[in-house]
Amino acid sequence: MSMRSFVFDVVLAAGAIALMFPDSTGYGVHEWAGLVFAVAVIVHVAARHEEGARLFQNGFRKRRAGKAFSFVLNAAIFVDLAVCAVSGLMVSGAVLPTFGLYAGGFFFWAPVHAFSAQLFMALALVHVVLFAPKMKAVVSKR
Amino acid sequence: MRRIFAYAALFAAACLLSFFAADVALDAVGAPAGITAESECPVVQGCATGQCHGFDNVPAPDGIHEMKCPEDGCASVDCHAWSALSDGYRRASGVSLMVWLLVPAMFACIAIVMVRKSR
Repeated sequence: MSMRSFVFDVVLAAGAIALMFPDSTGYGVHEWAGLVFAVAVIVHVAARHEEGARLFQNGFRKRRAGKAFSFVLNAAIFVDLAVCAVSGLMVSGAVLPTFGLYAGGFFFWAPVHAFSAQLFMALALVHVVLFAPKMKAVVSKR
Repeated sequence: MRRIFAYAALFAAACLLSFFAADVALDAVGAPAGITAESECPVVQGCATGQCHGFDNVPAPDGIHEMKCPEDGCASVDCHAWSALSDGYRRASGVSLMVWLLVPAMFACIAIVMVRKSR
């Protein structure tokens, strides 16, 4: 992990925390920033492709439970973020209307969005703790 | 760059899968549609004020315009659960989510740290 990717990850984490407080940021900012955050997570995952492949190899081919758990956790975060993004889009009051659109099913998508957001934070917390030694190594090298 | 597009495609596939699963399971869920003058307010479903006030400026019941409660279908000029609708519908349910999600996550983190320290 390089210092540049470490800084990117720290900014990503700060963005995630800010997105948990839409009343403070305003819902318009929350929605657009949420889209940017989703793109940033995709970039984060793509940048860690080799690490992910190693986790899969060590976890499932070499049957190491800790590595398998990490891989499954990362996959769960990815899927949960997709659910959070689509549910957020379906209840959006800023993004969809900008394109002249609206979607029904508000009372289904709103609790799905709230639950998936809270689940994302819980899973991301475990993800950060799991990768804390690598981050500590990057900071120590400086 | 190719990897970013590949993961973006995977993310989009996950989004579409979750949307279609909800669309198949529930009648109320549908694809985004164009906003017209006849479009119902997606929150109160049948509010007839004729103006979209947006999520930040939802008007209180005025005793004139009829709204349809999305919970039990009652249509009235009064909303008996207005405080819940205006204060709580945009927020996570708070305490229960904290207890069932974040607290177990914190316990998992403590367990990970303790296992590392014991090695």
